[in-house]
Parts: sequence; structure tokens; C-alpha cells
Amino acid sequence: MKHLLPILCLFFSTLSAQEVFIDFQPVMGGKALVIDDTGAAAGAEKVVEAMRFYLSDVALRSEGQVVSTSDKRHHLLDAAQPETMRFPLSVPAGVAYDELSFTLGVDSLTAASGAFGGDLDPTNGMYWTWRSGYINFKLEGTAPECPARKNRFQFHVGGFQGPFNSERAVSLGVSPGKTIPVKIDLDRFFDQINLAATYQIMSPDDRSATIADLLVELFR
Amino acid sequence: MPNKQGVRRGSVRKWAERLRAQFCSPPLGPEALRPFLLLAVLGSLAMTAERLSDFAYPDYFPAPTYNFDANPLSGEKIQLGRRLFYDEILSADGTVSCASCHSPYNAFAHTDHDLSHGIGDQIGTRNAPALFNLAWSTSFHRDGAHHHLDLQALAPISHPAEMGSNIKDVVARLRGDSLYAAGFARAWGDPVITGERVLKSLAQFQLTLVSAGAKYDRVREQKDTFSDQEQKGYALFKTYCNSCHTEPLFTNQGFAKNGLEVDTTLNDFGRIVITTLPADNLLFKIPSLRNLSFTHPYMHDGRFRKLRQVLEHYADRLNDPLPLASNDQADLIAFLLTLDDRAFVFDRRYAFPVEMRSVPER
Ligand code: HEC
Ligand code: HEC
Repeated sequence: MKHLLPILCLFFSTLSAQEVFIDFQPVMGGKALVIDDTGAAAGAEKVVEAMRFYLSDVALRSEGQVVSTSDKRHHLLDAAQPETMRFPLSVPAGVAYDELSFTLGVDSLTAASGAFGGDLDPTNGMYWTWRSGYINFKLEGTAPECPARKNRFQFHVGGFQGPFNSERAVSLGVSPGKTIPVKIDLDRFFDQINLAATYQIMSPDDRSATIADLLVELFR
Repeated sequence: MPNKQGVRRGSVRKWAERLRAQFCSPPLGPEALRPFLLLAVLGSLAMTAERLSDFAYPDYFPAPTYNFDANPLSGEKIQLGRRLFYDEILSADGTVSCASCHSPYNAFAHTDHDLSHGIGDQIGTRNAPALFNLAWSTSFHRDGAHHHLDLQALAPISHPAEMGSNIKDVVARLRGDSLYAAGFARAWGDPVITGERVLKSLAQFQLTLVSAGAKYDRVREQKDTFSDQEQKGYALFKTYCNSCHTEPLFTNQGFAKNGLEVDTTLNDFGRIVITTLPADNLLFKIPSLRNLSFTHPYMHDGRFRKLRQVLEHYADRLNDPLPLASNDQADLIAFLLTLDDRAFVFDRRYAFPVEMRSVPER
């Protein structure tokens, strides 16, 4: 019966389904993040100029069983384009769920498989060119304490091979509703990362793997 | 035994099975449709055979590693890829094409330069490798920075000292060129130009670059025989070289240290740059030894101009010098020259597409 449940759910979903929006809300300084990509020189405040990331295999689950998956296998989310930060999953009427799960990043099997279109098209600027691999999570901006040129910080977390695979499984407890808000807590990120010392991550290595671990904790 | 076209029979069979699976069991197909279905299958089989002849290889080659299911070859896509390969529109200032560094007459390497030569006369840090038998490669670049042929092209397109552009701008330039709209429509069914389509078309053309027509191959097919000297060289080759430069592709697709000292003007440490593993220090991709007469200079930094210098290196290197007297070296070179594939180098299907000559100046 346990195995039948998801199949039955999928069957009924075509008959009567309800759309549930997953809504990703980046937060910085306790407030909704505002992307500032004007390129103005760093002032006294920390500024985020770009925040873009991939999610794969977004699903809602009930007691561990998948009850709904996203139509699209991979999503590119861009904080500068609010419409990309929110997308629907269709859930069969009357079916409960208690968990949202996804892979942060492009799953490594896909990453190893060649060129793709849509959200995965390399024209989106989320593919490395000096070596193969998607940038799974990109965060760029300026901060006064950052010693780099023009006080810029650049975190490009990616890579899918060997010990530095940066894809991460994320699982969150949720309660049913029309919208499921997911906070992305950038304050926690900047609490953990000392921008005076760590401000440029652009290749898969142990530092980027540590940051990938930290990224998982931002989703709440 | 290869059939007439040299296409591996097994592959044709696999394609046929796939087509049959696709066409012969439609859900609830009425009996009346049977003859049409049969026709459709036969028709596609004929087309498939033709398509496969763009990618034919001898039966003593291993199975290719490229996943053709994800990017099935078609004549129009190959032609589009060939055009893109020869078109300077890919570079930021319209001066450099893929063929600028990968010339057909050098087996798609570049003999004029030890290090690559890109836009604005900039010199890169590595010697452009020859391009052939890429469907068997499991990694690309001297350090294996790229794992998939489709995505490799992003590297030269974006490299500031090679083409100095990026795939987004390339797509924008191609969209502004009406001839390409027609080419993409023929190849992909509609004129939409995307990064994915550009990359897959380029890959298709490069996949068709199969070199399997050297004297060595004729000997394998029992259509020719080695001279005594070549035979002696072949024996030495099997003793000293074959573990890395494994026949019939003449590479085992791995990485190795072959005893070259670091050139301190370049400080290129090879594979370690990608993996960060100390054991990978100074390991470089093992290149194929086919077509050496056309691909000089040799090694990742093009430090040797002559095969003789390469053999002297293997015989004189500090670590593990190979016991190759000068007559052994001469025999080995005689064998290596049987790997020259003139039919490949002068194959018109791979050359600059003549129809591009009539294209008006942009
Ligand atoms: C400026 C010279 C230059 C241009 C232009 C250029 N390449 Fe290359 N190519 C190189 C060099 C140098 C390498 C080796 C790079 C390395 O090892 O880091 C290379 C490597 C490659 C490889 C990997 C081969 C192997 O066996 O590892 C392929 C495939 C390739 N190029 C295809 C292309 C295509 C397709 C284009 C056009 C989009 C192109 N190249 C444009 C210089 C160039
Ligand atoms: C341990 C593995 C190994 C063995 C054994 C070996 N090679 Fe190599 N060979 C390499 C590697 C790795 C390179 C590329 C080095 C570089 O790019 O710096 C290379 C490069 C070459 C090249 C230059 C090819 C080019 O296109 O640049 C030639 C020619 C060559 N080897 C011939 C030989 C011969 C002949 C033998 C036997 C006497 C031999 N090799 C044995 C690993 C090996």
C-alpha cells in the first residue's frame, strides 16, 4: 500500500489538483534582500549584487514518500528576478505533506552529461568555462571589510566531481498551505564567513565544499 | 569484419533495434497501419545507415564513449557545426575561428606555433592539440579540465587570449545573421538559436573527425604489410610505449608524467591544477600518436619540433630512461610514421566549407 500511495496520488492529481507555491525569500539584515546591481562602489553597507542558484528535483513529501514533484527538473533562481524565486507544485487534493526536499545545485549526473537548454543553457552565465561544471550557487557583492579590489566578494560554489562535489540535499519540515515560504538566511552566511579573509571562491576545492555545507543551513 | 562502409555492424544493429522499439510497438496501433509503419522503419533505417557513415570506424576500435543518444548525429547538424567551426564570428573581434588554432591540414592541431595564438595576437600557455577520434575521449585539455565534448567549446570561446567572447554574445551575433537562422532551422527544426544548439552542433562536426585510415590500419585490415624496419619499431612500441599510447587509438585516455622538466617560463603543473591532488603534479593528458607528421611541435608546451627530439627525450631523461639505441629510435620513428593518416588530413568533408566563400562580407 505504501508504494501505491504515490502512484494513486499522481493519478488523482490529474483529476483534482491544487497549486502550492514554493516561495524563496532571501533575507539580509533581518529584511527582504534587495539586489543592487548598479555597480556603485562599496559604501559603508554590505551590498549584494547578484544571487543566483540552481535547484534540482524539488519535491513535497509525506512521511518520506514523494507526493508531488516540480514539472521542471532543474530551476535557476535569480534574486534579481522575483518571478524565478517562486514556482508552483501541483498537489493532489486532500493529500497532506510535511516535508519539502530538493538538491541545492545541478545534480551531478546531469552535470556530467553534456549541453542542455532552458535553465541549464550555458548562456545563463552559470557554467564555468575554464573547466567543466555548473556554478551551483553564486553570490556577489561588496562589503567595506572586503580587502579585494573595489571591496568585491565573489562566491561561485560549484563542481560535481570527486571529493569536491558541491551538490547538497536539503530537506525542510513544512506545513500545508497555498504558499510555502522558504527563508534564505544570508545573515547566517555572513556570520559564518569572515569577508576580511574569505571573499573569493571560484573553484571546487575544500573551501568551496565547506561553503556548500554552510549553504544548506541557510534554507529555513 | 567491417561492412562496406566500414560502419561497425554492431552499431547498425543497435540503432535498428532502437528504431524498431520506437516504431513497431505503438500503443494500440490498428492493424491497417502496419504497412505504413514498416515503410517508416525501413525509411529511417536507410537514413540511419547514411548518418552512421558520417561516423564510421573499424571493428578493432573500442565502442565510443560519447553518448550519441543525447545528441544524435544528423547531416544538417554536422554541416552547421562545420560552419561554426570555421567561422570567425565566434570570436569577439571576428578574427579567430576554431580552425585558426585547429587547422585541418595539421590534423586539427597548429604547427606554426608552440603555444596557441588567439585574438589580438595574444599567445596562450599551451600548444593546441590535434582533434580526432574525440568520440573516444573521456576528458579534454592537457589537464583534463573538461569532461564533455559538448561543453569544451565554452573554454576557447570565453578565454580572453583565444576568442575573447562568451557564449551569450556568440548566440546574439549568430541571431543577427540571417544565414544562420536558415542553417539552424534546417538542422534543428526551427530557427531558434540557443547555447545548447551551438555547442551540440560544434560537437557533432568534431565527432565525425575519425582518423582510422593510416598504413597501420591497412595492416590491421590485412590490406598492407609493414616493412622490416616498421615491424621492428612496432615491437619496440609494444614494449615501451603501448601502456600509455595504447593502440588502436594510441592513447589510454589517461594522464601520466613522461619525465619533462617544468618550463619555468610557464610553470604549468598539469592535472594538479584541476584536482588539487599532490599525486597529480606534472601529469598531462596522454596524447594520441596518430598523425604526428602533421601535428608538430610536440608536448603540452610544444617544446619539441622533431620526433627525433621526442625519442631522445625518452632515451635520455633522468628518471627511468628507456634503453633505446639510436637505431631503435629510428625504427620506432619508422613505425610512428605508419600512423599518419593522409586520407583523414585531406578529407574534403572536414575542410573549410566552400559555400562559406560565397557569403557576403559581414
Ligand atoms: C587560440 C587558439 C585556439 C582556438 C581559437 C581554439 N582552440 Fe581548441 N584548443 C586550444 C588549446 C591551446 C587547447 C589545449 C588547452 C589546454 O590544454 O588547456 C585546445 C583544446 C581543444 C580541445 C580538446 C582536445 C583534447 O583532446 O584535449 C578541443 C575539442 C578543442 N580545443 C576544440 C576547439 C573548438 C571547437 C574551438 C572553437 C570554438 C577551439 N578549440 C578554438 C587552442 C585553441
Ligand atoms: C608513462 C606513460 C607514457 C609512456 C610509456 C610513453 N609516453 Fe609518450 N607521452 C606521454 C605523455 C603524458 C605525453 C604528453 C606530455 C605533455 O604533453 O607534456 C606524451 C607525449 C608523447 C609524444 C608527443 C605527442 C604530441 O602530439 O605532442 C610523443 C611523440 C610520444 N609521447 C611518444 C612516445 C613513444 C614513442 C613512447 C615509447 C618509447 C612513449 N611516448 C611512451 C606518456 C607516455
